[in-house]
Amino acid sequence: MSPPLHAIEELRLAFYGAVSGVLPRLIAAALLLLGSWLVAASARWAMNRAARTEWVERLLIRSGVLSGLVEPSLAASRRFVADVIYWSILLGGAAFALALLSDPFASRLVAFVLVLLPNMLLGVGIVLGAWWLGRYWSRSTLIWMANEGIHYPWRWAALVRFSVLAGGIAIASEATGFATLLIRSSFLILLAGITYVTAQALLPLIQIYVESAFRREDAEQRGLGKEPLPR
Amino acid sequence: MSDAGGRADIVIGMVMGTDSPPVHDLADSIAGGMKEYFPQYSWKLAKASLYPPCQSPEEELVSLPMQRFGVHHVTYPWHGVPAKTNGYRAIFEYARQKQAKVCLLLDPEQAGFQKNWIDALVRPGIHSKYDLVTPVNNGAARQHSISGNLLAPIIRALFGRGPRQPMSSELAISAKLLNRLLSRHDWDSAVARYTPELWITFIAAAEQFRVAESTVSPSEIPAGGMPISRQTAIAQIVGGLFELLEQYEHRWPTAENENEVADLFGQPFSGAGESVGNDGLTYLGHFVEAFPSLQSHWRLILTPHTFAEVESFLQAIQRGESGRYLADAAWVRIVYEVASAWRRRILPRSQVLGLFTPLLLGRLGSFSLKTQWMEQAETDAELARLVKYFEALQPAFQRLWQGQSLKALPHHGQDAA
Repeated sequence: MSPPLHAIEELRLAFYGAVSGVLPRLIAAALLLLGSWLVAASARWAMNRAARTEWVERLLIRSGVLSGLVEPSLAASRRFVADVIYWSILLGGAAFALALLSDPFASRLVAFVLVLLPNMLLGVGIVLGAWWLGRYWSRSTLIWMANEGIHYPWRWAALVRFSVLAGGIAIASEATGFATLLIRSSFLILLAGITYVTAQALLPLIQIYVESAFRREDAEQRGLGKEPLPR
Repeated sequence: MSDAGGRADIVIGMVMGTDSPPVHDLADSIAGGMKEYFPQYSWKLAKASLYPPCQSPEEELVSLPMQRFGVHHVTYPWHGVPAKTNGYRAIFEYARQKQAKVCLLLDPEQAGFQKNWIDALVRPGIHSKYDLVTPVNNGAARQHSISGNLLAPIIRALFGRGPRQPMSSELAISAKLLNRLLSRHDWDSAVARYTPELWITFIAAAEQFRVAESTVSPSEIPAGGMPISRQTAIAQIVGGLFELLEQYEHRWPTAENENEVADLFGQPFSGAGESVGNDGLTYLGHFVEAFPSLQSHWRLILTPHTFAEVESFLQAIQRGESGRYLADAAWVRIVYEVASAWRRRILPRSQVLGLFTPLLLGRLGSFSLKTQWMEQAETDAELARLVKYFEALQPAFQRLWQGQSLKALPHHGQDAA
């Protein structure tokens, strides 16, 4: 065999060797990817179907997913949740497919994620809980203040939401041990800021309250402002 | 005839708060009224306390300079927050014990009471066997604007009957209705504690008791300021109404209503309506101020079309148009959509009630402005037209309430009314 042919033969053997070594894993990875795509697409379809039921609609609204969107509508929030589910499953499948190909980086990534998963879930759960609680309290604050005629209800509501969320992040960081020092320090600085702003805001509020109390007393003496609510 | 042994045909009861005015004059009027209109009937006057008595009933009775009327202090054992219901319950128990044919509840703070009220309220019950008689205060349709714009029309649309003033503190109740009320187990519920009169009249309407109304002179509850904030008061009333709607949804009509307006005794009032304590602008101002803060949340509980109506109402107010009126059709859809949002818990119920408050005040303000120069008959016609709207959209409301599409209520040219 002439040298060039020999070289080609060696190349062919090397290629077959490489392919026969990689192919099963490649096929498995492709199948896994295909499977995850099928599951993701089915989950998205099921979500789109299920979201038309009343309780899922209600859950979408109450969880704040709907009002968190740029253009809130039930259809948009359904699509949003379905897309989140679809991409989570698909990306999870892709990560495992990469790991099957024995890519060292992907394997390390998957192993890292698996080890950290419980902690991550706990942290995400706490932050999501704080986000939801913050939304609930801030909405209650907003409605109450708007009905009482207190100025700037949006700002107070935003302050409530932000404080609860910040508290949630601090708790999550403590619970998971993630960037504890950094978040603890940030939280303390934030708390100091909020305390300062609240103190600054309370002084004029107290002044307004005292003034209005005097005015009310004066009006009561003149028989004003005591009309009962119509029945 | 005030005391005739162990029985009494008529029991007249009052629930006294700590700041209730002395009732000597009221007791005098009652005694005069009973003597004049019902001399043949035995009667008793019962007084219940809003709070647990610190003195024993006997001591308190002795301390009262009204023994000559044979006032009976009645109590019912209870725990928890003081509520008028406890007093009502004690009076009802007493009336049952006395085998009364009619139990008349009076408000000790009612300065407008005249002895002919006794005749007007008791006669339909004792002679014509009506189970519940409520007053219609002459010329006071604008004063009772929550009743006229919300409570009465919705009760009438869903149950085909009901009084115009379901929150009046003066009620004449038959022994039959009284027994039914005493047999209930929801005396401690929020609706019974916060809005007992609405609770009683709603039950009477929903359970098809015979309801009548009687015209009396204008009500004069002295202004004493509200012990609770306006939004809390509205949340209690509207929340109570929605709770009762939910409790009685199985009794809603399945077909077209057979409407039966409560029989009216006495002469319908003609003339100018009474002035009310506010000019409507205060309420409109409240609505306008709340709009920017709450509009994004209103979008969650109202359909786009209804929200557009609210927006155009705001624009009309801001332009200072004379016709700044929240139209009947829009108002009915708001009420029905908010009620359904409350039922379906689209947002937490307390928040839905809070979101409804400025909308209600907007409607009351615009109603007050629209009717301020009207004769009483015209105001009554306005309210009667509103009832028609509530009735016309009632079938669609039932579908919405039961969880059908948020777009279930007809709009634009689809309004049946």
